[in-house]
Parts: sequence; structure tokens; C-alpha cells
Amino acid sequence: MKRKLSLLPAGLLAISAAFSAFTTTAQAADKYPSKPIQLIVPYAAGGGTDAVGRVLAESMKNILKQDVVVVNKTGGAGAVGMNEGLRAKPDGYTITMVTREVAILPMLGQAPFKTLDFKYVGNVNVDPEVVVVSSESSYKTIEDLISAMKANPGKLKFAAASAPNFYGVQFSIEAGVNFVTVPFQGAAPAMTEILGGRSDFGIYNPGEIKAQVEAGKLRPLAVMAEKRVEGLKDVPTFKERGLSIFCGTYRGIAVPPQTSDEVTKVLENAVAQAVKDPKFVEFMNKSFLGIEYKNPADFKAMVEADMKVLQPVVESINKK
Amino acid sequence: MDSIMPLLDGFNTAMMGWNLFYCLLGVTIGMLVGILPGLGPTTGIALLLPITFSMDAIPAIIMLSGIYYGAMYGGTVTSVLINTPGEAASVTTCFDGYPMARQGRAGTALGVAGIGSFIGGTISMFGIVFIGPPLAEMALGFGPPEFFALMVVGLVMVVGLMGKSLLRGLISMLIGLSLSLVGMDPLTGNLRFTFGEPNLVEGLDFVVISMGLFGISEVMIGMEQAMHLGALPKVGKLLPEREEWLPTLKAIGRGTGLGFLIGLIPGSNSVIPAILSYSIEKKLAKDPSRFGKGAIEGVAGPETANNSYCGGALIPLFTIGIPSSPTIAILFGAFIMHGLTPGPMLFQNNANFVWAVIASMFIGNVMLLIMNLPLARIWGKVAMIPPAFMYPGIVIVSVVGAYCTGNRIWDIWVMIVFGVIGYIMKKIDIPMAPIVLTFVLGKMIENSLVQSLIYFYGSPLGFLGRPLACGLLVVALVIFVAGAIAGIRNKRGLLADDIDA
Amino acid sequence: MRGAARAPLLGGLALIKNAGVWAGVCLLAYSGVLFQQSLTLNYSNPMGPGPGFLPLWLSGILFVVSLCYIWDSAKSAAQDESVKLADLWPPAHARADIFLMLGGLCIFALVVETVGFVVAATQLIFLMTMRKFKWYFALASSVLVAVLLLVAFQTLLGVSLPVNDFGW
Repeated sequence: MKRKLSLLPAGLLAISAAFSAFTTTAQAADKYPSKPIQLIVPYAAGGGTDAVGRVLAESMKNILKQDVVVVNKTGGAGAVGMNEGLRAKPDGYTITMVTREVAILPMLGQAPFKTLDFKYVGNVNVDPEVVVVSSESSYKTIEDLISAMKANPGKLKFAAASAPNFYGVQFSIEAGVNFVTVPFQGAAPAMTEILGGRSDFGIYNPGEIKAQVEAGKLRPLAVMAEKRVEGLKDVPTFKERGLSIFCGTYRGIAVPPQTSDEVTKVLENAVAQAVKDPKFVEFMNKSFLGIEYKNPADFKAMVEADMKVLQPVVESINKK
Repeated sequence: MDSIMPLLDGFNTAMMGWNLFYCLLGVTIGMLVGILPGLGPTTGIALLLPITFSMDAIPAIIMLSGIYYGAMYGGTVTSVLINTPGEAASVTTCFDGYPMARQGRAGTALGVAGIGSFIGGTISMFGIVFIGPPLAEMALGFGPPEFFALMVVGLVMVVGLMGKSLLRGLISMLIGLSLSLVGMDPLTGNLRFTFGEPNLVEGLDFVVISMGLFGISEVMIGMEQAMHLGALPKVGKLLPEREEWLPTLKAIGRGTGLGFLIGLIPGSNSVIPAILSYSIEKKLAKDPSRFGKGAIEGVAGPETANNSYCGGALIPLFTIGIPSSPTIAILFGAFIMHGLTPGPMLFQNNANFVWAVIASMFIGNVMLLIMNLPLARIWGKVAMIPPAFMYPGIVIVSVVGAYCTGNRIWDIWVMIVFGVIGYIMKKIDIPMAPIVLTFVLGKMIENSLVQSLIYFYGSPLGFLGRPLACGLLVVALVIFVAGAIAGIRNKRGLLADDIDA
Repeated sequence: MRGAARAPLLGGLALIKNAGVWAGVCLLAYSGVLFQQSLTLNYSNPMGPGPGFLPLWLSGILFVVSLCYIWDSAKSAAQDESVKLADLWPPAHARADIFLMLGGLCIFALVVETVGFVVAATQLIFLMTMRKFKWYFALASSVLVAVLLLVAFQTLLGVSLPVNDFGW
């Protein structure tokens, strides 16, 4: 038993050392931010939202001179993490990365909060969706694809990256076409179906299709955006082809509504600066993620506008 | 054979300066995340990805892929020592690895797993070098109908793992399948069995369930038996007995082939080759009753298969730019981030890079073997730690692991509940393995069935038009009918002797 | 000890005391709930099976299998070779250990977000070790392990654990 006892003083020493280290960091509570900030990413480590969250945290850390720690709180297709971020102490030390799901989930009745409960701080990323077909397919343009769908309603197959697929439903409503949606878990298995010739077309983000487009395996037909996308300059928008389909995902920072204006201002400036940080820009460009900064007012306006766009889509999904 | 020269060049690059260090760092972190339940290769790579922002592409990818295959080695350790799979691919290793540790052969179990992993990992690397690309193109023809059929074969194999009582095995299997239904349904996104609880929307987590069923309940049972258990287990020797070598090597050989081929199929995961390998070993063994009681082939086969799978799964990434599993998907992201586009052009545009990474994987596997064989002895000693230290350790690691899977308290509660369920199931002799295995397969079966039927416009007859899928389904039917007939014949034996080790 | 030779009253008692029968009843209830829930989901869909297809069949089969299991357990209960309900309760010598662990786990889950990881983990490890070692040794090592785990996860692996307002 001698050995056990000799551990005791060593253990106590370690504890006291650890305590003193912690108390020193906890004391200097004068100006925000005086301690590390937690950034809730409501999706698992490794996804697109996680990647944006981590690189943004890295850039904000240098601007705020405080650690910004990414915490992945998964569950409820994002509802769990966003809800936790919304209900966190409104002291600015817990901020949340919100995505398009912040608008979608409450509309589907799958979230314990309302979209406009959040105080929006800044949007950093917008990714429009791109319609693609296999490069071996006979559809050379978006018109080819749409007229084929009109000629054979309910026959062409759409390999969807998620279910329910808002992009697909919106496409079907706005273009007035009818097709079969085959749901997959993520863009990669869905694209495999197109490459394997089992599905006819797909709708994904630029980052997801980049590799296959460059390799000449997938052919992008049209982008669901206002203007052409960096890196896919040859690809027309739906608007150019006379169809007003705008659809994509977005990611930004939000805080609980009671957060004080000073704190929000600090965060707002940090986000605004972070999106110009060369490291952030380089990462986003390399990953084919679109940078689009929006200040609090514009961000909120975008979310509100998106809710209007989503209304008919959600209704059509609920009807089924 | 024109792959040899670039490969040698690759070795040159991989051995240079810091690259070797990053390879070592990667495989060490991989071992660590593999060992800790709750952290898997997916999380490990995602966490380290930001650190590589400022690094060059070659060392960055060398390190990240080191985490990927290193984790497969690490996962074995917790399975063997504390009967808790460190990551999903190691579930089957619990079946025989843990009994081996109880018999004082922890060292052998870990040693064989290390050797098998090394052989599987290395041979699949040769596969990448020489025969990968054409196979990857062929694997594209593998769609939901074929996948569904493969899953059904897997499910039927699980029935074969159920031990002596078909009834109890079926119960366990149905519980596992029903648990996999919780959450968002794959076709319409409808919520099933969530009872308004947002934490259930994405379903239950595999790691959390298995930590509860295997880890926590094992501690409870252990506390009960502690009074009766006399001597502590020994580490034992590292290498198998002489007469065990041949069956072990055969199991390793089969595991290598199986893992590699399944790795080629987009959408598969490392659990499938492990399950299939375990069932095949059990079917081929002269005395299948040894399985579940410390059969060495039951450790060697699956452990080899999951490492070989890792190599195989890189082929679709390198050659057609399709990530075949979530972990590979993050690796894919890392490639893109470093300005490399996975796909057919990769070998042409960035040949030096590809060959350096492949060469580093050879080196990494050697490092892991060197690390694992002596370490197996050290890890094996962990099995000798008295329960008074061991149990709090298992519990606290499980709690942290459960929390880390989603950073929420919810998962800790789920683990506690499944711990108690597992305890009761052990008492009433319902096997737990089918629960976790069918839980993993359940969602994929439903997905691929629904996807297939959509492709066939709703007609199940469509399967007849897919020769490969049809063939696999016939195989599954034959196995099932044969098993059922054998079961009925031995009915008296079944009821008389229900106690399953 | 043939079942037929026993008095019916004794047989009934054995049935009530039989763990397998009760487990079967629980399974029956479980499958019943699933079945009822499945009925609220669409069985089919224009394109094939709907979200309720697999759940309905699974819970239906589980229902039948649970009935078989109850019957099987009842039969073995009559033969007096089955697991008794009382056997499910932890035996006296391990009861304290098992309940301290489960209690510690529940307390951990309840308080960790307020008091932080170090306190909650110390509590859990201490409850599990206090009966085996001298209390001060148990307490010191619990604190040490808790702190080390926090440092290892937060600093070395970059995984965040729940902490209190002071950062531990």
C-alpha cells in the first residue's frame, strides 16, 4: 500500500496547480471577450457547415484575440444545436452557426423555436444549387432536360442528396415538371447513381460537384442563382434561361435575442473582418464555398425572404 | 508494372524529412481515436483538418490518412480488453477477442489483430497500385438493388451468429432493426417513433448503444461476478500457438480479399466486411461452437477485413473521385482544401502526390505493426488491472465517449438505459450482438430497398432484371432455408441447451 | 420435476416469478406501441413502400415472436429451470457497487452542465472507488483523473467537454 500513498502528495500538487491555472483565466472579466467563446455548430464534425464553422472560428480567433472553440451539437437535423444556442446565456460567449435549416425546421414543425427568435449577427456563406447530368447523357442544356421531363412526366429520375429535397420540389414547382425523386444520404452516393447511369440528373452545391465536373464526368446545366458562380463561369443561371429559380443554402452566425448591443457589435465586426481574412478566403475558394457577407439587417431580410420562398415548397411536401 | 517506378519515387518523397514524422503523428493519433470510444476516425480527421490549413498538401494528407487507417488498429484494443468497441468496425472483435482476454490470451488476440491488420492493410495497398482503377469503374455498376441484396445476405449471416436459440436471436435481431427505424425516414423525411423528442430526430447513435449494451452492462455483470472470480487473467504470449497459425493465416487471407472488394463499393462501410468475415470464418470452421468463446480466427478475420477495407475504399476516391464512406468524405474535403481534385485526373496531374501518399501508407502500416506488437503486451496488461481501478476507468471513458458523439447529455442517458437493458438481457440469455449488427444494417436495408423500388417504379419484379442482385438474393434464401432446416432438425437440442456463452 | 405433476397454483406462481415471461410481456408491449405508431404512418407511397411499411411488418413479427417467447419461458418455468424475476435484481454482494455506479452516472448526467466536468466526474469516480480504497485516496485520485481527462480532451484532442462558468 506504500505505493498508493506516495501518489497522494503528487496528486494534490497537480490539483492545486490545475486550480491556480484555472482561476487566473477566470478572473480578468472586464471587457468582452475576456474568455474563450463557444461556437455551436449544429451538425457533425466533417460536414460542410462544420468546415465553414471551423475556418471562421480560426479567423475570428485572431481578430477577437480570444479562442473561438467549435462545439458540434448534433441532433434533430440541426434543431438540437440551434435550440441550445438560442437558449444559451445571452452573454456572447455562446454563439451559433445557423444554416438554411433555421428557416426550414420551424416551418416543418420540427423545431422547438421560431426562425425569427434569433438575433442574426452576420452571414458568411451562400451556396446556390446546380443542376447536373452525366457527361454521357444526351441532355446538353437545361432546356433538353426540361423538355424531356415534359415529354415523359414522372419517368426521369432525380438522385437527391437528402429527403425531403427542397431543391427538387422547388425545381419541380417552378419549372412545372414532374420527375421521380430517389433519396440518398448525402451528395456522394447520389452522384454515384448519376455516374453509374441509374439516375438522370441531380441538384447539388458547387463544392460537391467540383471534382466530377473538372474530371469531365458530370455536366452542369444551370445554376439556381441570380448571377453566375465563381468557378462555374460557363454555366448559365436559370434566370438567363427565363426561369426564376433561386435556391441554395446559407450559413451565418446568430446569438440569443437578449444579447446586449455592445456584445453583438463586437461579434458583428469580427465576422465582417473574418470574411476578408486571406486565410478564410483561400479556404472558401479552394473548397468551392461561396463567400457572401451580409450584415445583421441584410441577413435577417434574406432569411425572411427565404421563408416566403419556402412556403409553397413546404406546403407541397406536407400535402404528400 | 509501370507503377513500380513512380511508387519508388513516392517512397523517396514519403521518407523525406518531416513527412515521416507526420506519418508517425497521424497513425499515433489514429490509434488514440480508435481506442477511445466515442471518437472515431471521422471525428479525428475532422478535428485535425484545421491544423493542416497551413501545411503543405503532401504531409497534410499523409497525416490525415494515417489517422484513418491507424484508427482501425486502435479500435481493436478496447474491444478485446473491455468488450466495448472503440469504433463500429470492431464490434465483431468483441465476440471472440474479449473471451480470449478472459482466458489470459489478451496478448495473442491483440497480436493476431495487429498482424492481420498489417497484412490486410499492406495487400490492399498493392491493390491500389496494381489493380485498383479498372475495379473502381466496375464498382460503379453496383447500385441500390445490388446493395440491398448484399445487405440481405449480411442479415442472414447475422442469423447464423445468433448462438443456440433461434427464438432469442430473432428477438435480439428484431429489437435492433426496430431501433434503427427511430428518427427521420429516408424516403419522405417523416418522423418515426420520435414522440416529439428532437434528440430522436436523427435516430439513436450506434456508438452510444453499443457502449451501453457492451460496456456498462459488462461492468455491472463483472461487479456481480468479482467475488467468484479467482485469478486475474494473464497477458499471455503475443503469437498464436503453432497449430493455430494455419487457420489464422487462412482467415487473414480471406479477410483481406473480402475487405478489399467491399471497400470498392461506394456506400459501404467497414462494419459490413467485418460481419461477413466473421460469419464466413464461423461457417468454414471445423468446430463452429468455439466461436464466441475465444476462437482466434474470429479475431483475425474481421480485423484484417476492416483494414483491408480501408485500402479498398481509397480506390474509388483516388480513381473516380467518389468517397465511399463518411470518413473518406472528410478526407475528400481535405484533398480539395489542399487544391487537389480526387478523380481520374489525380494520377495524371498530381502523380507525385498520389504516390507519396500511397508510399506513406505502406510506411504507416509498418509503423503501426511495430507500435502494436510490443504495445499489445502493454495494452494486454491493462486487462490485468484489478476491477477496482478498471471499472471506474471503463465507466468514465464511456461517459466521455457518449458525450463526445454529439456533445449532448442526452447520449449519456441513452447509454445508461441501454446499460440496464443489456444487464437484463444478459440475465435472461438474449444475445446482444444481433442488436448492434442489425441496428447498423437496418437503415441501409430500408434505404436500398426503397431506392430500388423507386427505380423499378414500384414493382418488386424489377429485381429479376438485375442478375447480380438476383443471384445474391438467391444465395441469401439458400442460406436461410438451410439454416432453418438445420434448426428444426436440432429442435430438441435447441430447447434443452439454451445457455449461450 | 415434471410440469404436469405440479399443482396449478404452484405453476401460476412460477409463471409470475419467471423473468422470461415478464421480459416477453415487456417486448409485447413494446411491439404493441410500435405497431400502433406504425399505423399512423403511410403504409404505401405512389412509388412503393411508405414510411410505415417496414415498421408495421417488423412490429407485427416482433409481436408474434414475443408471444412465442412468453410461451417458451412459461414452459421452462414449469420445468423450474428458468431465470427467476428475483435473479434480475443485483445479488446482495454487488448491489451497493452497481447502484452506486448507476447513481453516479445519473448524477453526472443531471449536474454536469451546471457544476462542470471536473466536479461531476470526480463525484462519479469517487462513488465507484470509495468502498474499495481509503476515502482520501479515492477522492484524490478521482480529482486527478477528472482533471487529467479534461486536460487531455480539451487541450490535446481539441474536444470540448461540458464545463462550468470557470472553465472546468
